[in-house]
Amino acid sequence: MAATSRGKNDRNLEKGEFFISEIAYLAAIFAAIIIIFKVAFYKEDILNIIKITSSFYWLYTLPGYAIMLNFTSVFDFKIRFILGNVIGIGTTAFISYLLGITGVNIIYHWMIVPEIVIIFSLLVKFLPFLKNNKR
Amino acid sequence: MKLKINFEVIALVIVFLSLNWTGYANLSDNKIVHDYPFGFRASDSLERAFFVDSLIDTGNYRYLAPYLNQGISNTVTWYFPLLSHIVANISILSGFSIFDSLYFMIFAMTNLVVFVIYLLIRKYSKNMALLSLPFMLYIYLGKFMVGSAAGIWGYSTGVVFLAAFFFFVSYFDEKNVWLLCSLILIAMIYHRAMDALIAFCFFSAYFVYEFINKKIDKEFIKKIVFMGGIVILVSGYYMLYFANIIKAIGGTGRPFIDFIKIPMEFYGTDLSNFGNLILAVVIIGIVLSIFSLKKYFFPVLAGITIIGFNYITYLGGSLGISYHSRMFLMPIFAAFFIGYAIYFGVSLFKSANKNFKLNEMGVFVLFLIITGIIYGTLYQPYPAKEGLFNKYIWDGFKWIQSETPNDSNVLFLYGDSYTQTNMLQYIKRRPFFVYTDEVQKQVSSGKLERYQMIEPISSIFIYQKGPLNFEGLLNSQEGYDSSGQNMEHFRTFVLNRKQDICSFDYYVIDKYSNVPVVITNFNNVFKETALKNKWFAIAYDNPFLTILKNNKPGDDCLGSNE
Repeated sequence: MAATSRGKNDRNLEKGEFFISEIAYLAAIFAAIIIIFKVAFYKEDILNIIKITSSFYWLYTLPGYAIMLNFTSVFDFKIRFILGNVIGIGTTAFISYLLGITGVNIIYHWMIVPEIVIIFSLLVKFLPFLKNNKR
Repeated sequence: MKLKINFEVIALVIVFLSLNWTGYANLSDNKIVHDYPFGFRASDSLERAFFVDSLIDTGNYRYLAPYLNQGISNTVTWYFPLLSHIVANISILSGFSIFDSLYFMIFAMTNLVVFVIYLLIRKYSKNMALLSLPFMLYIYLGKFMVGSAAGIWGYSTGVVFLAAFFFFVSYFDEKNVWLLCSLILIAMIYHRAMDALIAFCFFSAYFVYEFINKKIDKEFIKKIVFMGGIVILVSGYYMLYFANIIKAIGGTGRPFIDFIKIPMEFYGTDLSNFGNLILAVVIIGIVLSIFSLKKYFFPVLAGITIIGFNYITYLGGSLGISYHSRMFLMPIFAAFFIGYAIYFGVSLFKSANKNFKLNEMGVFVLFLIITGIIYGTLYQPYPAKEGLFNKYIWDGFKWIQSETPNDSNVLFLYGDSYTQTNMLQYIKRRPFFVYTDEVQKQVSSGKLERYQMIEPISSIFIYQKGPLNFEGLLNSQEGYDSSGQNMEHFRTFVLNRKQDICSFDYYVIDKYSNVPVVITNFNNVFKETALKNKWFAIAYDNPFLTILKNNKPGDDCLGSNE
């Protein structure tokens, strides 16, 4: 199943369709998580649920997803999303630890670390495409 | 347009909702945000939280906040950093308390393990994965729930990295997946380095398997070398750093292996918690799957590795202690064996009845039936949700945090929750606690003693003397003045346990207990006696507790009692 989506992913990537569908999936899962949380935590304010879900997304889901974008030829979206969360949690946290030890206060890490991971991962992913287009 | 129902997605949504409902929501009164630390039932969970608190207050993880060590600064943070950073970042960004954020992340990470292992099984058979899913829900049901409720969290969250490692190793021959293995191994080491041993054993077994199948080539070895190189580069120093910290505090105080079983009954979890019927299915599944090892190598190896490591606890010693608490998440890994046994049974039935067909919808219906039966028979709301804190205790703590000087010595008289002494650290001052044995003695005699055994509450005092050189202070039992700071307090209050009960600045006195005689014969007697002195005053009061202020610490405050 992963194998069938490989070539397709790469072709769509060049067309930009890939991103549209992936962003739609990410948004749909975000909405689904909020609805499921609202059912499980029915006594909780919806704003708080949105707050914690978006915090989780920004800190862990998106960095992990960005790293896993480099593996579109190996894994389908389901795998990249779920395993991306684990990768995101681990990577963001250990970079945050190392950054803290170098003297950057933890209160700023939420702004810096996910950004670094996302930008770096996207660069690794798209630099070859950009180079090819230039040529 | 023909609408196609995706049964797999529906099943995953049901499982995600169930995991949240029976786990986190069940323990947290179906709320995410609470007015006070809600659902913390034991010292272990509070210890995880105070590392996060210290991290946010100090800005980094190098040193513990002084309030965790009786006001002494520059003591090294001695626990793994990853979980604290995971929680601190989400707490800072969401604005939620560290307690709520910790609870949220623990369960989010535990729930992720279910989906990772589901995907691992799904790689081989989607139907088998769907049939295994309901049994993974056992982690929050019956006795398996104890670990999550009691707060054995440092152990359980580490399993998510193990599960991801197992998954990525199953794709090791794919391009660059070794890089993902490296990232997971690094996270694992910063989270709880002992888990890396499990990962190592798993990978070794995979290596041997590939070797037997003659699949080891130059490329394979190159990947392993790169993976190891990156892991050592990023986390090698930390491994040595942590090993030397453990050495400084004298390790676990036990030999590596002593064959004295860790008291697992205390946590009450084992494979037998499935009940005899499911246990039998697990065993059948293990036996059957060994015959299909070649076909289902990775799910079988993952299950056997985790279940096997849980039983290492029977070897005792420091090795046994390190691996005893993963039992709570064992259902996730054992679920493959159950799913396999059921799938095998269905296949047998299919071959006997040629007309019988099991399509995706059929598997989904079977999934629903099994989930329904498991919930119907096992789910029950978790009792005693509130935990160690209540609103009044927390209000009292907040008052101490905001209204008392930083170097205040605060004595806690008897309180039902206070025996879980980590909670007392949250006053962020210097907490002390009267030994319960002392209290009982005085309750029986009806007479308060001025000098008695009083426990200073602190974390572990470890100083860094060089890059990899540490000294554990309580281990040597000598006053080690690293920076000339406030060692008088240390020598008087920390090393000397026999204390003058009149020498504290503040007293926290509970009004209610499950043992009312202690309140009437100890707490109230002290309060009434102390208030007879002009230099004592009620500084704070609420329906649950009173806080007294002593304006002359050291003066005889029990004169009228003696």
